[in-house]
Amino acid sequence: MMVKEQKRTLWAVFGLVLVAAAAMVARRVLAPKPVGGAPHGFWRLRYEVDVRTDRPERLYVSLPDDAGPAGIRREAFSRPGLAMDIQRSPRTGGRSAVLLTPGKGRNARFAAEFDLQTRMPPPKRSFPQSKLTTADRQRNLQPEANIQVGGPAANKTLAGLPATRDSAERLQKIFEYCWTSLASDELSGRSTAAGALGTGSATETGRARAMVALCRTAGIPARVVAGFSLDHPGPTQPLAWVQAHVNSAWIPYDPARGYARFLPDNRVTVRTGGLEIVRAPAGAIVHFRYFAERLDDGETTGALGAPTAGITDLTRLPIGMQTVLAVLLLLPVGAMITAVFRNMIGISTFGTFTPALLALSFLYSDLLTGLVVFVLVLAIGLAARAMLERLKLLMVPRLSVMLTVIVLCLVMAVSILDSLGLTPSANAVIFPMVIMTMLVERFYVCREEDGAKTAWKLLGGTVAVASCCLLVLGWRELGRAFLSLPELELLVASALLLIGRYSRYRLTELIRFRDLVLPTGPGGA
Amino acid sequence: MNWSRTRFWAWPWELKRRGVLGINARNLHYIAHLNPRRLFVRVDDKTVTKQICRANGIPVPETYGLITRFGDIRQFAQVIGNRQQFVVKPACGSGGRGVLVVAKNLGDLFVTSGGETLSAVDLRYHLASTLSGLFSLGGQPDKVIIEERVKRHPVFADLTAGGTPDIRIIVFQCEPITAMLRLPTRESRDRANLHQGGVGVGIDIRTGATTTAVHHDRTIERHPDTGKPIGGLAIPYWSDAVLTAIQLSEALELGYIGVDIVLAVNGPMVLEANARPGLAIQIANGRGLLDSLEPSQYAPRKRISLHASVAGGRLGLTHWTGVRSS
Repeated sequence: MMVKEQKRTLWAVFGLVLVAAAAMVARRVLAPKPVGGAPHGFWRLRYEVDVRTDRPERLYVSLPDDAGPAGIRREAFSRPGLAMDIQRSPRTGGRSAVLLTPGKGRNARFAAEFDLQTRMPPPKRSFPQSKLTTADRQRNLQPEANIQVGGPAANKTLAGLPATRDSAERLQKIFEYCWTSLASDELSGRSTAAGALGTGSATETGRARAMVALCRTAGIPARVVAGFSLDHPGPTQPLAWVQAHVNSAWIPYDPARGYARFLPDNRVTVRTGGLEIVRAPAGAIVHFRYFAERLDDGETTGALGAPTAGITDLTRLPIGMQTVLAVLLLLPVGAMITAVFRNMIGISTFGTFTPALLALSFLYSDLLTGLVVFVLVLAIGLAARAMLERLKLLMVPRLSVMLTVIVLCLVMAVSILDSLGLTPSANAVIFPMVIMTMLVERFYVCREEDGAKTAWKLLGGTVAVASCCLLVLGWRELGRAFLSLPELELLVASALLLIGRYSRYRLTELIRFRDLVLPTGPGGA
Repeated sequence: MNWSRTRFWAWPWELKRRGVLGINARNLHYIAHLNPRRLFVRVDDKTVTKQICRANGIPVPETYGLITRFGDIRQFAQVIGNRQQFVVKPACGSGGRGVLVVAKNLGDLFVTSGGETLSAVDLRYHLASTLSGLFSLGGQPDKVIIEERVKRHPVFADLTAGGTPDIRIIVFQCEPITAMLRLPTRESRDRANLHQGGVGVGIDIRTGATTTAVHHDRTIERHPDTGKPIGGLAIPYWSDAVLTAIQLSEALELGYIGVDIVLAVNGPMVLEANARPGLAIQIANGRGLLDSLEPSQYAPRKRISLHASVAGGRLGLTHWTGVRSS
């Protein structure tokens, strides 16, 4: 017999599937074909870094700028044996991978791939406004190793430049001097600012440093920039150029190639304020290579739609945002898993979304750290809860005390791990303390009220469902599929509707009610 | 050896053939249709259930006092006075959580029916925890009911070590369809809830005689604590109990409920009603529920009068009215 709710649900499912299918077809049909042979294409930049150290040490590798004109469509890291964390500099906004080497003289390889798309049309000729703080200004006026500010060579050079009215004009004269008056010599030219200005002959690096030194001597904040030019496939070398701060904006200059106030679209900024892309501690043996590879338009996952497709194309977003959105899009899948476990299999959990949220927090830590943290927090929380029971506190303060204890223990654990040279990634610490606190409380109350067996059963169920959610949430390919086809979410919704009308036996009920079917033996009781 | 005896699961079609009601089907086909959400408060808040019972002349344990605010906790001693026995329970609790049965009042010490001793401070802490919602559905702030401890009928003395047994009757559209006696065990710490380790004993709904029993979802024949056989006990006041359950289901206007009744020396009293009654009652009775649940539930609900139900009910309940009126 078909109930009216059943019919309605089926119609809704039918509608959702239809809409999803239509959206997918529309995406295919409406996506503008990429212009063949366009000069601005897709590039894959690859880093290969081999490192060997005697003790565990930190290695910093600057990553391509994800906010710049060349958008990152995909990035992937391979780092067997290396602990990795990605940090963003609060000053420059640049990203670095921080790697912890295994030490003991063992070799480790870090490889990174970035699918980049140089944007069309070329970026606007206006530069983003950026106010310099006093400290930033100071930093970009000070001398550095290899950038000697205010030395005799710099002063003499500046004095020889034609008189100008304002700093912008002065900057132009400095650039012209570095571009035209310094001889280019990659073999015997000098790579320091003082050397280049003193001898009048410079390497590319020396030329950039000389320009920065001159700017700083003239009171214009300036800094060196390292990056790549994506123009021919094969092994590639980083380039050095300059940014100077005038009229409240950082303006690019490339004194080695003659670009002023403008850089070609195929430039990818990797590091500002320094030229080394890989920074290793003294004593480390490091080899690094960079490769550029030209991709066909279809080869990047981001190229499913057109580069400039509308708001339905989530793959046009910056990579950091994409990662977050992919996880968000997978959350309903986690909820669906929870629904399957609870309503079709019949495994109960503490709270409805606790498993999915737990999985979300495990996602950013490696499994071992996550499990250690989970067990630690649970054990400490339960011990604290048992002790608090003797104090007879009101509920909210009691929960808050438990939260405090748990937070404190976790922070201390991180500090202890760090002192042992086993720094967990910062993300492992972003743990839903509040969810854990509630879990501890529920577990405790359940153990008191319904017995330890029930409590452990529920905890086991929670962990099992959370593990399944974790597998799905961490499935990158699935996340990318949802990101390029967000209409898949409608299919998840229709599956949820169907589960919502599932009125058959739960799997565990086949065991629970077996005595109603199976004859029990005479001595069975 | 019969292989099916060693099998530890049943196939879905086997359960279906035995008319076993699963939890999904219960929720989707019965509770969602027959118990309107807006009426849930009538059973979820036991103070409301009690009011409805009193208004309809259904006997309930006497309420000594109601604590609704933290400030009222101080008046607890006044409420109790020198009563020797009482029960403290959360108004919105479920599954027997947070229920405290005090068997002896020594002034500043309270001895529970389970033999635990609580100080006045412990008791106040329990009251405060209950008020903050530790035991309530969804953790909302709660109320505490302080009420009479009903003395169990002597007929149950042999069946329990401690605690008070109660009777669960499932009423479907004002017709009692199945019932069980819930016996506390040591494991359940004197509470009669099955998932805490209580024993459920099937009751023949026509005669009020106990049949088979269930403990942790398995069929048993002897009480796990006393070792005494469970079947064949005639429940006193059986027709009164069934009529009470029917009356309450009418008053609540809910189409599928479990009514919990405690049998006192002088007759049945309603403890509470449950809008999502459990399914282990099927194992206790060795019989699935589906046979008793006709598919007519999809027709617009009409109030079945007590009389019609009793007089024309297919269970042949006619003789009960006679018992009641005598």
